[in-house]
Amino acid sequence: MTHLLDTIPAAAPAGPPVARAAPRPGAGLLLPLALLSPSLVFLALFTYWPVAEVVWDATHEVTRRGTRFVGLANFTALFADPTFQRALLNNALYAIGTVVPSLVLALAFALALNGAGRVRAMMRAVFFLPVMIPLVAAAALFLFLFLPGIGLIDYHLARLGLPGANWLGDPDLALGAITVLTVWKNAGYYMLFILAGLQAIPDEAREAALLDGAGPWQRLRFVTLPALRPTFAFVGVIALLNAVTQVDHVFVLTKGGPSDATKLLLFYIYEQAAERYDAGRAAAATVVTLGLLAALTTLSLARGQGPEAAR
Amino acid sequence: MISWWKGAALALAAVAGLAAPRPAFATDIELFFPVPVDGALARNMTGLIKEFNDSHPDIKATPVFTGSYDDTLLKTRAAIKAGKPPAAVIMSANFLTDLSIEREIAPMDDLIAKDGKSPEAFMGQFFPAILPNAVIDRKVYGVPFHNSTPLLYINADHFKEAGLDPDKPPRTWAELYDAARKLTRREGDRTTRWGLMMPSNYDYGGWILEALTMSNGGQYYNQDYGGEVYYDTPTMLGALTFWSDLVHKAKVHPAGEQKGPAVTGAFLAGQASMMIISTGSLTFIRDTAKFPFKVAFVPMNVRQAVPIGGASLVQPTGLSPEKRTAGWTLIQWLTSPKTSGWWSRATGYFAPNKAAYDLPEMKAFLEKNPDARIAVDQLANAQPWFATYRTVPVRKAIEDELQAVLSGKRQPKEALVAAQKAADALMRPYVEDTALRLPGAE
Amino acid sequence: MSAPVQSGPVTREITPHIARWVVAGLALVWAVPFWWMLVAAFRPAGSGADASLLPSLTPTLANFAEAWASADFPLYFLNSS
Repeated sequence: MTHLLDTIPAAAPAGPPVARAAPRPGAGLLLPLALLSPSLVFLALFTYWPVAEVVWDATHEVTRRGTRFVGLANFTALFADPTFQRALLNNALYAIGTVVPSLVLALAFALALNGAGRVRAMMRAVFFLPVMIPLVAAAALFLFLFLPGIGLIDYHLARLGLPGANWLGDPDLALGAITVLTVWKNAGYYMLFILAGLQAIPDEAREAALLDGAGPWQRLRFVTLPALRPTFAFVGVIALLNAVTQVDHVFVLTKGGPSDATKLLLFYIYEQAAERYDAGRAAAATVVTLGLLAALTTLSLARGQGPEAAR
Repeated sequence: MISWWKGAALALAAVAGLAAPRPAFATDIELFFPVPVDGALARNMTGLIKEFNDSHPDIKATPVFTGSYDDTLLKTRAAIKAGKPPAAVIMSANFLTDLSIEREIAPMDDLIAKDGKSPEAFMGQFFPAILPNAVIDRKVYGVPFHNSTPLLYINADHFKEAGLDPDKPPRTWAELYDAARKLTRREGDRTTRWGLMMPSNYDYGGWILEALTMSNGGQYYNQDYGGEVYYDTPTMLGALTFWSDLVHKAKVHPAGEQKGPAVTGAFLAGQASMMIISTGSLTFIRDTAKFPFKVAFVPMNVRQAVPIGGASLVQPTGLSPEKRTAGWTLIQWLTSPKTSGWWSRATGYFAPNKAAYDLPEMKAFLEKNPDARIAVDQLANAQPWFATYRTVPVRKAIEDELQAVLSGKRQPKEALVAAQKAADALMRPYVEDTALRLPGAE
Repeated sequence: MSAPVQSGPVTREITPHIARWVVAGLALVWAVPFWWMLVAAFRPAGSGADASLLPSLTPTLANFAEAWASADFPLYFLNSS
């Protein structure tokens, strides 16, 4: 095991160090390259080639009269498009609205359901159930829940004498409705990670806090949460990625409407590419989205792991 | 989250099913079909294709369900790009213009000629109102499969209850407005029953708005040229303001976007007394409604006029000659009077093939279901369906604004100005390449 | 796994108890869509109580037969795999 781990850092910095160490540069490189080549081929084919293609698309304009290089014009047009601005805002609201409540709820579920017992196991299963069905199926289910007047929610509101709402058809409510579905779908998934994180907290830390007379909130604040910090960094990134990359329910429930109220970035890209045939605009939006995601991921992972590493 | 072995077993079963006995030299073709309205359309289609395969041993057709009309367009384009075009597609009739501009579907004139017919004689089988959406630049791009018009459905019990005569449904906007007010029921600030509901989701909303605009004397779009829509016009302003007033002034129509199934659901649950939806839902409503209902022409303001809806069978470009011929056999079978009539009775869509109505089973059916007769009669008022370059986004440009108006976010006039601007921008590449491509430039 | 942890001074604290009841309530909310799906799947068509959460007194399997017959399930499975 140690032997294997030792060799990995040596292999990671590629060309120069190896080349300097070996007497015959060609022979030293040949074997690692040969061994790496299958992965490199696939990496090039499925990762770098599409990236190159997107960058090419983003800097070109395809019209009925031909294709030409336009530099950053697609990006200028993109940022000037009010629909894209709306999609950016929607996605930001959606990310905050799904990530924060999902994580808070996941923590609450995990804290309450950590440990043995039949009831706890059953409740864990209930929270995990939504994770097991595809997002499309969950959306189809919620389509009926949200149906105005006759759906599950409005029907029961009416029985209580309360006015219902057009949950998916009102531009002020639609994004909220989509958010509720996402929280319902994902909280149980994040709960799983936090449960694992809780298992890793040594009992001694908890006992020591109890001996010091710490109350439940103090234990949460000073023992549990600090220990869960790396878990949260990881789950936070997953939740953030989900908020940008999962839009199946938008297709089923609203198709980006009403009046762009649920237009998320990925749906915007899909519309530009598939409905408007505007490959340049779609590629530019893809580049911007990927850039944003990369920046946010780096930031939250660095913040989550920095202090932990120092400790 | 199916375990791998279970998945493997299912896949195996599926493969075994597909490899079931079939003739050795059958031509394999695919038919892409959408399900745009409520009802058991997918099931009916599966049965229909089975019947076709049984009677045509040299062809093995596979029906592929492709979702809504919009989804079917996307999936067809994806299949063409992937080099695997289906041999026939039941395509929303208003996408044919865009597909022919992009040369993604092939004219069928040569196939018609091979059968020894002239295109005029062949298309003469169908109701003339449908032809402008199928014959483009004098070439036959589609064969009408099932067609519809918007129709007014009323709950006869509610009409009697409100002191209205169910045998005299509203004929004008004024009568519609009036009836809707009398039919609406409230408990405090909660509306328990809406006088009228009309769908405003993508695809449906634009169609209903077109019906109102045409009833108001409007054209909606340039029927002869794919680069013009008439969104910012008085006829359209009247139509959109009427719908907006039903929601915000009279409060007889719910606010916000309403999906098709929500409208039919509310009508069937007795929470809406009238609705304007497609004739394609007629059979579903007839089979499901537990109260007497009546149908009538869409009420008018200036003239009686409605757009057609529905779908035509098209063939993508790039098919092998064998598949093209096999697809053509399927298309002819599906649009024959007999099949066309059966599908009409199963769904409520009217049969575009006029001869279908001469068949004894169709006569007996209309005798028993006079509501289906009204749907056919309205064809006399039918106009072609909105079709331009980039039909879907151009249509969404007005639908987004329609939804904003129904939600109280925009005034009708500013909505139409915005929609016109967005639509013009979308069609500009085509316009610059056609109507504005002038001698002397460049 | 860590059941003994629950003994000792924890039982005298009120906050974790309240939290557990809140989470139990949320578990009910989480289960509602699934419960409704089950109830609706066995409800006879056209009974007019589609949004009710009470199970039908005359449960039926007809919906499953209908769903199976209306779609080419093996084919869909193949397409989505």
